[in-house]
Amino acid sequence: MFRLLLSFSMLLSAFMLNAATYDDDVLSIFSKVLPRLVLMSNTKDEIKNEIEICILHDDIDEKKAALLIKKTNDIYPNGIKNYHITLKKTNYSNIIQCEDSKLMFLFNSDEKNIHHVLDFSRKHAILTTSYDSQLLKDGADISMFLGRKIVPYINLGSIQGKEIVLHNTLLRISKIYKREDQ
Amino acid sequence: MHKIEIKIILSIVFFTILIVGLERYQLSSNIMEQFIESKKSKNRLLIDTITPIVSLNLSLGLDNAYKEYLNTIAEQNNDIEYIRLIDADDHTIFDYVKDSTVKFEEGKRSFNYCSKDIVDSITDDKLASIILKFSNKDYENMINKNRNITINLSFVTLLLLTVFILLVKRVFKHLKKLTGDVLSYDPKENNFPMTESQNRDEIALIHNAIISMVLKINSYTNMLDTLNASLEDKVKERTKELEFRNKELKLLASTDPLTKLYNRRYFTKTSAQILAISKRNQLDLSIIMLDVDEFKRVNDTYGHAVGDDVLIAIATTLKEFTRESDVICRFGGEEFIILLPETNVEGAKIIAEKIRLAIKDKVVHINNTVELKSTVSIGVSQVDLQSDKHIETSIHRADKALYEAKETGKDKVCIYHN
Repeated sequence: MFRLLLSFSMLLSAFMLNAATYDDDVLSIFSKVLPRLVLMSNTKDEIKNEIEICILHDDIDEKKAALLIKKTNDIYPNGIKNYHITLKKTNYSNIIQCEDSKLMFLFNSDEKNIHHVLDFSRKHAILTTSYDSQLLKDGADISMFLGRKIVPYINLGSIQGKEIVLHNTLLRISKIYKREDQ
Repeated sequence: MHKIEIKIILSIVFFTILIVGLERYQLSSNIMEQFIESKKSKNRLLIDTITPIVSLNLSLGLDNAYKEYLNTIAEQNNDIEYIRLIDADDHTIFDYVKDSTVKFEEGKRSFNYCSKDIVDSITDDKLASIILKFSNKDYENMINKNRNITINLSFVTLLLLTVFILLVKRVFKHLKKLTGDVLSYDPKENNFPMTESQNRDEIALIHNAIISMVLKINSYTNMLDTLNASLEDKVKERTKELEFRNKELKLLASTDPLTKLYNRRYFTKTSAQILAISKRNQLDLSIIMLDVDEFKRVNDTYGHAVGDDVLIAIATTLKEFTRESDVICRFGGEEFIILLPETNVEGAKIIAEKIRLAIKDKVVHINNTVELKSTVSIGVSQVDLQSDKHIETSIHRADKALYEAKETGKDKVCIYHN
């Protein structure tokens, strides 16, 4: 009973703090999806032979970020379709390191960091991905809903603002996110 | 005729069934082919639509998403009966069965099966293969519909063929009747039905042409009948004339033209026959022979015309005193002979005496001024049926008796005595 109450209180606090739980399954899913998202957008036209993915995190999520990198490298040890995969993890404060990336994965952070990153991504036309669907509201491009089934959510407005075009099939299997005011 | 009718009917029936059958077979084949192609195309389109989605779901690891997607696809497409997804390791990772009675055939699959490899669109690696089985119901419906069309078409074809056969039989019935009429036609009886056909077909044309021909034949037959009748009349007339001429000729050949009595030739021929009959029947037969006394003096005094009148008057008298059965004949210039069947010498003498007296009393008028009387000498003899082989013997005896009458004073009757 005590453990149940503890678990419930942790979930409630996480919900209250507007935070997502990055468990192993979530990281596995994203490790598989992230490089493919790059190749399923027109940003791949700018790629020569390397897919650069930047993982932004706060200090608290550094290990998770490292685990995500590991999992991605495990899945794609030789890259994907002749493309080498380069994964960088960096703190929100060093966002400048992600300047040449084609995709940024955003761990949870405070609103200020998030807005800063999203402004940065718009400026450099970089795809932004997050597990937390709340970030879609702030302007992130892609998120994943993990329920009975896993469904990608796409913020078509923000992507179009960056003049990024996604593969038609990806759009077909995804749900289009619309802000409440849209 | 029957053979032609049967040949026409059989040929048309055979070719109609052949053409309709072939046409129907070809059309059915085309319909089936097009249907199957259309079905395959539709199925291919569906599977081509499905595979990229499933491929992406598989490649992104969205397992439940592709399962839900395939379930949705199956529910949206009523003719999908079965969906099977097999991964690269040949394990079945998804099975959808609409009806538990539907069986999935592993081996040879018909057109209602459709399969495709699911390939990673990025890496081109084979992720899985998908097999869809579609319902046969629409195909079976189409087969049934096609069968019904074929049955209806066959029925209509048979109906039309029956109508055709009836029409042909009707035409040939007309032709058969026409042939029967032509065969039984007798120009003498004029028994051809002359009612013209009101139809406009070829048989009617032939019918009317035959009627026209029959009319001409009738006309010519009437002309021939008239001509024949005329000829028969002429032949009858000519025959009658000929018979008359023959009789006249015969009469001329057997009679004396002046006295109209039989001539010597006739007498010779007839006397032989009467002699034979008399001998056979043992009947008496006598001969009277007479000669006009002083006839040369009459001729010399009054002319031959008067002599002829005297002879005619004597002949008339002879006819008056003899029987029908007696044969009177002018035997020579002024000499006459009478053959008397069934008469003996006494009977002949009586007749001879009557004749002598009648001639003696007979007056011949000459130019209404002179009256001339003549006498005759007569010899009578009876045929000896036992010894006389020929009539000439008896004639000779009568002649002897005549000679005696002439020698003993004329105007008398003498009987020959043996």
